[in-house]
Amino acid sequence: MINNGSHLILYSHNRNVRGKERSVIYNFKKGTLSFIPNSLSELLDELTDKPVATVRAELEGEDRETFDEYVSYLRTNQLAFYTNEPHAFPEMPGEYFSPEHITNCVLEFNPARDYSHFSHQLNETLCKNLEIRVPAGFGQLNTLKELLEHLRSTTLRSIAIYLEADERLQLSALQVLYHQFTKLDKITVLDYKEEIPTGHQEDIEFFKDSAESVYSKPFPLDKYLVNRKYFLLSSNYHPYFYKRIEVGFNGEVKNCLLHQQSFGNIFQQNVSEIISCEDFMKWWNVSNDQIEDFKGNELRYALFTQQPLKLTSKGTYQLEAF
Amino acid sequence: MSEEQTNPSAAYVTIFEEEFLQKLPVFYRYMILTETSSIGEMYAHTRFSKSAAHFSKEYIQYTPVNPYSNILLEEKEHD
Repeated sequence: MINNGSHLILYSHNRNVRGKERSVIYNFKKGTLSFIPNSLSELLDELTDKPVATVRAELEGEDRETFDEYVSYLRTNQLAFYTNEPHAFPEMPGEYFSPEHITNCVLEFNPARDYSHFSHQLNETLCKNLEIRVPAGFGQLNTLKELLEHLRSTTLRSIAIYLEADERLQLSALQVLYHQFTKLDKITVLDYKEEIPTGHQEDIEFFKDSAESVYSKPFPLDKYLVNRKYFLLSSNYHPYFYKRIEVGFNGEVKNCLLHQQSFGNIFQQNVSEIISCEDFMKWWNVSNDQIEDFKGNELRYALFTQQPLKLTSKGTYQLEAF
Repeated sequence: MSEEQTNPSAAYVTIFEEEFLQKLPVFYRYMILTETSSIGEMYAHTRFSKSAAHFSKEYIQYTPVNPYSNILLEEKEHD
């Protein structure tokens, strides 16, 4: 560790976020959170411009001891480093940009419907990630294969499949599917009553939980996503609704399948027409800073919530029940 | 030195015949064999798909860093 240098600054992969009662340093390299008192957060702001010695000289007695403890904490946890050239280490840019019109799509697959037109439309949005929820039933894999065939040359980078198990479902058939369609990222089988198969190489998992219970639960508020991409997204836009469509069993398009409101139907309208509607995009630019419930929460850029929002008279937003 | 020294943590190999080794620096006798699959840059475990829009037949499949949706399943739920 370098202990020389006039200035002490945070590594650029660390970001200090202030909350109402405490602050936290997001470490994007390790994916960890280091909670610190607000007084240390203020000190970090001061240290970006002033040399360590100057700041220390302004303090006396116990304050100086606390300052030394803070500096020691930052160094021991490898959160900050000394340098004589603080301007050579600018803060990480805070903008978020993605070229896609839609980044994420969730589709409740209906084996009785034709998704060829939708696949084409999804490709035009340059969509990157797709989650397909497949209901139980005879022939589900054959109809699913038809959809995957349509998606074979699209812009999708990854496809996750959630499959409700039935007595005909076999691991070997899933393995073939996994190898046949290389856009598949993972296959998750729900409601699986048999002994959980092990030892296979493919990313195929089996869970006993019922599909309904899995789909109906919002992402828990005590699980935090700590990475640079997510931080930039959530500090600029709504981390869940931004550039996302979710399509129900009958083709209805929503911001989230847990919501009631629908904005159109993929079997009757073009996806581009639905997603360009202002009402559909109304929450895209609402970052967690603008949500009253999260404003004072230092972990606001790590939360992944799906709750609908309500505009308040102050121009901010409040969470609403599903 | 007559005593042969071995490093238990590394199995040395050479890909050259003795004829060439005599002309090469000594460390060509002590090469370490690494499996291609253990090197990320070799893309040995990468799955490739296609993208017509990108004119690519080697379109890398990758797992997004953030969840696809509200679904969170944890390993302990296997029981």
